[in-house]
Amino acid sequence: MRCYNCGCELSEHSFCTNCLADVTLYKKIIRTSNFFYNQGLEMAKVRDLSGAIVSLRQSLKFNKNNIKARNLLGLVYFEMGEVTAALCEWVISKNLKPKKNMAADYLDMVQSNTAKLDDLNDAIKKYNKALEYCKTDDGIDMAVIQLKGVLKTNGNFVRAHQLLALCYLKANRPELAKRELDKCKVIDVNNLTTLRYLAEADRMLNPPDDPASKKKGRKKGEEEQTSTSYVDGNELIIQPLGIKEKKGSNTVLNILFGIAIGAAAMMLTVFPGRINHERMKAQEEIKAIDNQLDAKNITISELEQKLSNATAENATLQESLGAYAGTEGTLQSMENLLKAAAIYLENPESFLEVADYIKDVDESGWTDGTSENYKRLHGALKAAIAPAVTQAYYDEGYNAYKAGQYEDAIAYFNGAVYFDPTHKDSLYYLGMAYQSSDKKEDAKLTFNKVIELFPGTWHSQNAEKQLKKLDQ
Amino acid sequence: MINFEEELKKFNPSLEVEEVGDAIYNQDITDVADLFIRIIKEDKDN
Repeated sequence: MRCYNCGCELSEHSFCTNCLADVTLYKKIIRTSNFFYNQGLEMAKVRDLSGAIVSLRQSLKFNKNNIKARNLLGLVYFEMGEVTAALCEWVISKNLKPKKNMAADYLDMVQSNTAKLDDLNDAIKKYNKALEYCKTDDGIDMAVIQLKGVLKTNGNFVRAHQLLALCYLKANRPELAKRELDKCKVIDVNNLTTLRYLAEADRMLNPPDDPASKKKGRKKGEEEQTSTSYVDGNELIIQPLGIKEKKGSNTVLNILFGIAIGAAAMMLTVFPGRINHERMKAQEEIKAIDNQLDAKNITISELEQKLSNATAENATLQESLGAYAGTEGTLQSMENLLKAAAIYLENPESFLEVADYIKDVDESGWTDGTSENYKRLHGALKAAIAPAVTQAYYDEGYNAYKAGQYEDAIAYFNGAVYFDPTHKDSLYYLGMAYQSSDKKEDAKLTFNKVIELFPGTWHSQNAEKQLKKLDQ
Repeated sequence: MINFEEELKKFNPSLEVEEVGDAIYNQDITDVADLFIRIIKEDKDN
């Protein structure tokens, strides 16, 4: 402590040892200032910030040069979100004591982060705007929006919290006001404004028990306030009022309700799984049936193919059988040959009858599979009766030819030629019979055969003459 | 019961950063010690 008159360091005496000025009262003033500083410091330590502000300002009223008190006041302001107030105190402090002053460090910290400082300044402007909105008739909602913005940037701004709480109280939302005031209380535990608003919020949330008003309330009904709400941390909990837990018969209803919910849960969880399982099972069965159907279709196709082949084979066999069994088939030929052989063995003189059966044997139907013995028998019989038959046919044919019965003559001569293709007379007169019956083409063929087979004979010479006649 | 309008009157606009200089300049920081010294000086002069 220095003398106010000469600036010399004061001693324990009540006067200045240098200028002899009386410093009794001056010392009391300085001590009072220090007392308030100590008080403010103690309050700040227990977060009674508003109380600390009062004490520190008192301290500075006694001694404006109490740098510790001024710096602490700036810190308390800053903690409460009053950035500009803090800056003011620190700037004054720095001016009063430029060296070895914590205020310089505080100012550096704030001013070095210009973006943060700008944000804080914007928050202050919004706060002021919100205050203006509050003073208008219907500006509460706008004020609330502005104040929420302020608190996003400067969450410790106690005045903004309080104003927001006041707006909520005005809007009959005490639960929200209480939430804001609780935040205030965390920052500044003993703020009178906060405590007053909290009391009001509590009063609104829990109206005092007034029997008269309770009766009145019951008479008017409970629709006006059916729930109460309170804030637990950041959660707003709304609890319905007037709902009593029912007992007795309602237990049964509750059990039934629980069973219904359980059944619904089963429907939603178990049944879809079962349905899917059954659906998959059905699909597998359908797939198996499809496979069986395909296999059966393949079998049917194979059987149809076999049936078709069998039908074709049957037709071929029927045709073959018909060929064998027909009047001109192999069986018939064989029958004719056997008859011819039987007749020839019984009576060799009946060669004409044998010849008739021999001619009915169809040689054109012979194949490689035709029995050699069959062929041999046929050849042997034919050779055995050939001379006699040829002569007999020739004689009969010649007589018919002379008699002008050319068709009969043709038949006889053909029979003779069948048994002996080298019989000149039969072949020549066959041509003559054709010519006489006006079958020119057959006549030409027959005469050409005569010329080819019997050259140098009169048969061929006459055949050539007849051919020339036919060509004219 | 809180009167909203009355409570609102207790809220003052906050000082903006641009206004800090003027606020400091216009602030009367006279303390009790200053008053005491002035009184002593005046007493001496008289």
